Amino acid sequence: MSDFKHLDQLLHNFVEDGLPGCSCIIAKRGEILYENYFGWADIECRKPLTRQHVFRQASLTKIAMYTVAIMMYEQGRFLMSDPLYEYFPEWRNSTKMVCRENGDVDIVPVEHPITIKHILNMTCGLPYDMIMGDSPVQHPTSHAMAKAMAPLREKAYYTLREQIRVISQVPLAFEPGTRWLYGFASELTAGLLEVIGGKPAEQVIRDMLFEPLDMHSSANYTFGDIQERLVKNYHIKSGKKLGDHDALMIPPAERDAKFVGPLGTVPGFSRVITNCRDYTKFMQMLANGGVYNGRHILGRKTIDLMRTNTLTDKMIREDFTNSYLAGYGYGYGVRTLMDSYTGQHNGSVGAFGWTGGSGTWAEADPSEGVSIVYMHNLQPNLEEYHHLRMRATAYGCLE
Amino acid sequence: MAINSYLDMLLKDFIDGGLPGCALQITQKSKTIYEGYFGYSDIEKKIPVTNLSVFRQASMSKIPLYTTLMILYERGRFLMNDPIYKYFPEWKDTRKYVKESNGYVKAVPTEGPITVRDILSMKCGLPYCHSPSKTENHTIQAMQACMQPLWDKGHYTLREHTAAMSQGPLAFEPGSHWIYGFASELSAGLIEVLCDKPIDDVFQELLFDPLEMHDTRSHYFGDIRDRMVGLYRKTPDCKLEPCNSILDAKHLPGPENEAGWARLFSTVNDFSKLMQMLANGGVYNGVRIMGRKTIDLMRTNGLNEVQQRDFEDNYNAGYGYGYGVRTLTDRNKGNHNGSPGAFGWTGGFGTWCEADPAEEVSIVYMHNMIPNEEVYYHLRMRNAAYGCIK
Repeated sequence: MSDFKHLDQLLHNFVEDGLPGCSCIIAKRGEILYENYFGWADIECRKPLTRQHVFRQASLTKIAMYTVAIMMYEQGRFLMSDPLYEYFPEWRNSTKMVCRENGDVDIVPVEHPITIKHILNMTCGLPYDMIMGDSPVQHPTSHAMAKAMAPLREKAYYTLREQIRVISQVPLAFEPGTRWLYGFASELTAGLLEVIGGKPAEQVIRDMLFEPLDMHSSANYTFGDIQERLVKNYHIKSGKKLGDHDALMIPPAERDAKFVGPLGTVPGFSRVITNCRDYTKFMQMLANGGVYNGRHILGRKTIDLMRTNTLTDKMIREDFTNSYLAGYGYGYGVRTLMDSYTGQHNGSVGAFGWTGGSGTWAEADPSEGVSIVYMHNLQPNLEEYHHLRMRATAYGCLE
Repeated sequence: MAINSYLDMLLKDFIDGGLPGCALQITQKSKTIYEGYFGYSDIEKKIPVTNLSVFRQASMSKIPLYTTLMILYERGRFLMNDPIYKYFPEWKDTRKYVKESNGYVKAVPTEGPITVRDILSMKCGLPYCHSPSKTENHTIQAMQACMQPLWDKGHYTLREHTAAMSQGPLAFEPGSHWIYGFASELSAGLIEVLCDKPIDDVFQELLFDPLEMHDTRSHYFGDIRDRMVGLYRKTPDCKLEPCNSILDAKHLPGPENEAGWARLFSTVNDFSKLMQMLANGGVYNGVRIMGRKTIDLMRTNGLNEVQQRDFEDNYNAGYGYGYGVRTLTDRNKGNHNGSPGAFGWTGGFGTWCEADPAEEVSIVYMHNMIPNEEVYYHLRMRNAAYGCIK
């Protein structure tokens, strides 16, 4: 019998120490071993967090999106070596920035075009052009992207295809495939789903993944009563610490509407809204060879490819190492555990997953058939403190 | 002849060859598959070693120490990345020694702070410093200077010990090399800070009570003192002379006997319970003590090539080092007939233990002698013990 009292204690302490609310589900071979909910979905209205509530996933969307891409890969819909311009003709003549010794930057043509592999393993050379975590992205390519995006951002709404088109003119940060850089590869991948799927990426994800997995509370857009079930979007006030009196605030509704809304209202590619129950179905499928409830979703061997590290030692050392990511390499859209000692990680080598900038976290451990899904919504998300502790305790509770 | 008889013969030969006494217990899946006691607890009085004999554990106390820390790790009480100054503020501005090209040695600030990972895997850059005896080692000289006021005082708490040592420059940048030593005192201190109580109370609560280790502690109680085996020193002409008194003072209750973190005494029966728990995925007698996956992390090798060279000698050949334990990585190199991933440690007075999760086997061996002649005794006993596994 697994004993989860220490996990209960830890998550209880998270909320005691100021986190608005959090939830966690651990499942193994199709069975939920642990499920609990702590704190509030809405502090002001005294609504406790329950299994009904849903969370903003931000980048945790990437696991679903890259899973759909890898499903298309195993359906033979594209090759990793395909140049991106086969799908987006305006990306035929990419340029890159080259820094001279005196600091001047030259813009020169790339040696080889961006391929699908580069957008699936984040090596295409484009960061995000917006705020990441607390601070704006400081990168010359990022500034060029922001400039290219300015006319679109002035409009209230723009499509993913429009966004992809304007960014095609931006010089890349480096020769594609030579370094890892988190960012716009995700929009390009969403665009690929759209081109191959022949409908908006948000609908492709729903049709290929959320529907067959019975994830009835999940979508990249609001529907039914989802908006009412969404937890409040708490931010820590500047100058305050979590746990301080009056530390939390909720930004104006119009700001949330830029990220969450009905299909066709959120600019660009919109992120998933879901909860631990739904995402556990998905992560269980990934932890158990691609099968959900007897239904084959994706091949076991393809999942093994997805969680194979694609980065060189140098790329890991220079571009993919911080105290939060320590021990992991990067596969196709997911981090994958390579070195448990360095990662202070008590899961199995080959466990894989990702994080959402709003505080959600998920990992599948195929060698144990285990998935761990954790969610809170907070800005900044304080991921290192909460996720690494929760992860250690969750794996520690396994039989 | 039963295969265990070879083990009996070997241990009897140990005694015939001049060891005062020894004890060995091998356990698999909670069943004792070998238990043997040889020689004398007191040679003059002809008191034999038995299952009740209590041995000084010295550094084998590190197994409970680091096991406790891994339990606290899996309860989310700290992160390995945490700088230790978060728990010991006086360790904020750490310096290290660097050798300049002209040969001069100078102390400069470290690039990064010592982290909890560094003290759990012996990479903080501080050796042991037990006495003011003359040394050429700059780091030990600096440690001696830090310790002198405490030595002059005669007794000191663990907290005073860790605070005093914060002023000495380290031997290297934290995390860059492996060096055995003071990391264990910082680790013991960390337990006290995290739990806000004496380390002995934490051991009792997290390990010794749930594991029913009734004869394992750091201070005498009940009849323990009478059951302690004699500590013998082997003279150059191979005679054994008793030398208990001074070294055992730290087991006497009372603050006047305190000298930092006191090591434990235990029996092979008691220690086998701990090692069985570690060999059997964290469960003892149906009670979960810690997670199987966390034990797997504890026994994951954390040494790079440079650190492997720091660590390896004839005795540790074939092993890497995880979080507070050696862990078997190369059977060929170690001439080791156990399983990769078998892990444990040694006590400086001659005790040795290993847990082999692949076989669910634990081996606990004890003698008390100075010098402990561990290469001779432990490696032979290890070969014979694993040879008995069916």
